[in-house]
Amino acid sequence: MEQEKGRYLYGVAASERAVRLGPMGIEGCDVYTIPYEDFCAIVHNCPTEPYQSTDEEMVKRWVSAHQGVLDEAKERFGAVIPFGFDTILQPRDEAISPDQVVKDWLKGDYERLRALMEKIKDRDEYGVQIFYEPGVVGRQIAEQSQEIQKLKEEIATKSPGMAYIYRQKLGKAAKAEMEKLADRWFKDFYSRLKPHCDDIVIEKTRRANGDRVMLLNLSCLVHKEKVDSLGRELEEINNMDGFSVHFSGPWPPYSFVAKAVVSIKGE
Amino acid sequence: MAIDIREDNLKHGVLGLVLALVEIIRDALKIQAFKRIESGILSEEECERLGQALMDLDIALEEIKEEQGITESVQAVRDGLDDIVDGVIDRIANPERWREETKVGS
Amino acid sequence: MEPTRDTHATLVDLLDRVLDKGLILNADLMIHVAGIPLLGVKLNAALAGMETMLKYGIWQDWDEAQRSIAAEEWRQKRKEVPLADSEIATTF
Repeated sequence: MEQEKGRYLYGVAASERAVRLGPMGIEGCDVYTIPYEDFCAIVHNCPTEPYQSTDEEMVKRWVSAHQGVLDEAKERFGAVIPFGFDTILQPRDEAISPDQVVKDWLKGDYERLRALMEKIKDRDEYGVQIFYEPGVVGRQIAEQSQEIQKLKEEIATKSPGMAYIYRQKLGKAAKAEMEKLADRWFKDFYSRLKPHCDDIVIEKTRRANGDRVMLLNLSCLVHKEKVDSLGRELEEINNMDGFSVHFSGPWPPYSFVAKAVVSIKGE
Repeated sequence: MAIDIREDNLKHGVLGLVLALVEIIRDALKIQAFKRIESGILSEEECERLGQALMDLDIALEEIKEEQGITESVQAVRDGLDDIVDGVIDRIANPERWREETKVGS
Repeated sequence: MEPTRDTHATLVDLLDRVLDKGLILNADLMIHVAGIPLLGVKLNAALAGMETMLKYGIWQDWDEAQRSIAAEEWRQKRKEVPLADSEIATTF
């Protein structure tokens, strides 16, 4: 009696083979493929419950396992369209086997999958984050701004209360200057990186720690032949005074495979 | 879940919150004060007194934070508030993304 | 510059992607999770900047510089000694 009616989905690969990848899945589950025509879903059997935990170590293990399966699949099959963590298929009809439901889904979404596979073939996702150090840049601004220089001179002549007020004004002026520059840098860096990428998603910048501020956070879909030139561009930016680059990857193209609109039956 | 309440860490937490709130109010005060200063309504002497008062307030808050060792806590509270506000704005701008999904079926 | 994947920092990069993105299955076939936080909030916070989450920027530097000037001024005021130019210059 099959207890595990759920199918944990790792991804879809461009392969017509039905194979076992072995016990390399989450919690050591047995991973195998369910093919339909020239695609296959990479799955393991699981209960119809999501994997949830507040135990950090356990979640890290799960996520690593998830990524590990995708890495293995890429090795074996080439391009893989990745699912996010905890995408579990649950059949609604008792009469149909879960594996069959997976096949039916592959059939139903075949065209979309084919289009996605074309889009991502020979390409990987890379994360690009560019940081700047306000201290370094702030000094440059102060030295080059006439408005700030003028204010500095005036402050020296003022009484304490007035001097305080002027210092606040100075702070505001420098901040405005910094924001204008940040805007320019963003556009400049983006336009330098775009030619190396087939697609880009602009992500939210995160709170940085230490004295760096994140200026730019991108997910880039890059053809394998353009990774080197992207790397060279990033190297140049990294060498600029007061700037640093974080370049991660290659990742499965998580950011480039979601549906634009979630369609829910009945709505 | 056992919560370890000791006099020092309770004080820490509450003080951090209070100071964060005071700082936010102070920032609002500053904005209003500067509007008046910029408007030219105030005399030189009034500006001087206003500036002095704001400066004294800044110093006082810094000293309290330093004496109580809560500078980092206060920053953490304010950062947390920033994140919450960001989250709320995100929800308003992207309702699709944040719609709560309910368990389907059994 | 070479892309990397195996450092602690890139675990965050992976989490950002694997927890939030990827192909979406038809809703009628999927297990849904109520609400957004699938994992303990602690995990995200802990991994998104391990050491401290303090937001430093020039604004903190500015503020500190301003306050240290102000504190100095306040002390000076009582002695009625004007601020030296050098003290203003060192803040920028």
